Amino acid sequence: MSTPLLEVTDLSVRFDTDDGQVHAVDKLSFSLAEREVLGIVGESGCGKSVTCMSLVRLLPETAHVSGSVRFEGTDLLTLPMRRLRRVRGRQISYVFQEPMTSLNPVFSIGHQVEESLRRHLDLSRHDARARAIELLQLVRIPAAARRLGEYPHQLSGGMRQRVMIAMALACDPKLLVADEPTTALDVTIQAGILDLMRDIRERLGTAIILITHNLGVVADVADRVVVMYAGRKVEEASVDDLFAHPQHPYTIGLLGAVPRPYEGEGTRERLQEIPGRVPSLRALPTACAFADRCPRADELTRSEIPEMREIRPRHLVACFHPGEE
Amino acid sequence: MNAVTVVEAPRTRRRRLLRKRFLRRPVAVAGLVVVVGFVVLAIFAPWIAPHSSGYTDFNHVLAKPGGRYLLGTDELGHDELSRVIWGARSSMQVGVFATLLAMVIAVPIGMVAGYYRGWIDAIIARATDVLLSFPFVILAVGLAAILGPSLLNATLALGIGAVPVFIRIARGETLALREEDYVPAAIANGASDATIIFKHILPNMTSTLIVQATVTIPTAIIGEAVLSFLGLGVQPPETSWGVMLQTAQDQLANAPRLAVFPGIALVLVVLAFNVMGDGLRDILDPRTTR
Repeated sequence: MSTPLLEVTDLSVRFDTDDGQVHAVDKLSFSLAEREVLGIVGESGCGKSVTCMSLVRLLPETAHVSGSVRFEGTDLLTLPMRRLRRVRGRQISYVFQEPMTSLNPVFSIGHQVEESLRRHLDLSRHDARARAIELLQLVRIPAAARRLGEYPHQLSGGMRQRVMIAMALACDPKLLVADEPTTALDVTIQAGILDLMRDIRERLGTAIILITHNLGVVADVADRVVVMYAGRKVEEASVDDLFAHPQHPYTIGLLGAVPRPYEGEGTRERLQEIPGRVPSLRALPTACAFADRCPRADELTRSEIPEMREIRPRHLVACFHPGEE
Repeated sequence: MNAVTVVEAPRTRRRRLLRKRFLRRPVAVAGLVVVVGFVVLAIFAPWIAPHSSGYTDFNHVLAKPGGRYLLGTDELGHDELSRVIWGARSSMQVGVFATLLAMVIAVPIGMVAGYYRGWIDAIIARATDVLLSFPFVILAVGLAAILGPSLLNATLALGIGAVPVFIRIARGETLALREEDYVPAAIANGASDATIIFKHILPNMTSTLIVQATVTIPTAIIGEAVLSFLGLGVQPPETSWGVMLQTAQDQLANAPRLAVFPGIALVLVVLAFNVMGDGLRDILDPRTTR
């Protein structure tokens, strides 16, 4: 494999809070090739969002980030702010969870889409407008030219998320980081947005990191999946492999908790939940973080941190007792 | 250029909506009419006033209203009507420019404090609190006394006196606005601090600043009257409502009208600004615009 587009090595994020340190992300490594869609899944608070925010240093100063984030060979964690700003939005852009509030209410849609075009690409007003119309068409907003003059409050949530995506794509970035882009939207709108993401990858060749807690979304769009638990990667595999042969008990638990209303011909099974709760991230764990909730836990699990192992080609698991049910 | 005309439509629609909402408030409209009236008087005073502010007619001293001089004359034969009109000019000038001055100084300071927080905010906020503990007029009187009496110095004194209020408002608004989701979205898009402060936060607080201006302008107008009344503001032969009130003091027993006319003008302007401001606050509040 050639050099990856993005290579994250031993990324750790620690927050200093009034009542001690919180280890939000612990020695996380993953990489992403060009045109690849990587899904990062996990429960709330497992460090998915913090991971994606730390890629271009969007975290507040209370966060201590270590490790390295290499984007096309440059380490973004040590890049001077001036140069980093040219990466943000230009090379790596973001779509956030809250389309209702992520647009500035006092400017028209057109103004906001054009702003990053003018900032990064130095386009003239006229060219920026033409490109903005193109972008809105790309994200399938009907009557794009007319929409440019409208204000955020005149658009629906789905439309706003499309605008956010258009803004993110404005400068033709190499990597799009989408942090729960569909969580705040209706299911029907969600499908449209996911469809759009796939389309973007096909047509523009943009690599995408898709952060979600919804395995259905991942199955739909991603090529590869990283499963995170309590700030660590517990499993990584291609989508097909992961869904067909989940190895980590946590992944198996997650898959068991996905509702499947059309399977089982009348035998309505109760959804399997994962017992227990996510452990506190205050203390650095000395054992497998999932041990307390794991049916396979034993002495070894409770005394050592499992190493990441490649148990099948391109299928990594951090578990002492991997294997399907 | 067909696209441009189509594109402009929603913006003009929004303006029309705001206008409609404003027009539905008759008191606010009345305030606006009075304010505009005084602004016109102030700007076109040389053409509207029958006489200059220094004009004296010693043959008609303390003339009664009506007849040759519509509002009569004072003890030096100044035409009252002309003096009220020229006074409007001083008052408006001081009110508007003092407020602008305060905004230009205070808004950047307040935004820096609110945006960066930390030690810079602590210093700015505490200094503001100290200044706010002085009554506005006392602060302005002190400054005017130091600077010396003139219309310009009165404007400076009142403008500086209004700075703490604007710092506090700009800081408070910035503190709230920087938490909006579009701020991290803009940062993720490569915006610098300056871009965020001036292009994302400032435009979102304009309505608050406009409403505050409708409070500060009349306050500065009263402040000007106070300073001039105390002899720290406008100097003869220039005039202002404060100067008129001061001279009227001696004639209060035999010609109280000399105090009444500038007094009415003063009350009218201040009231008009306030009711207009209330109306603007109602229509500009984004929470009700939705």
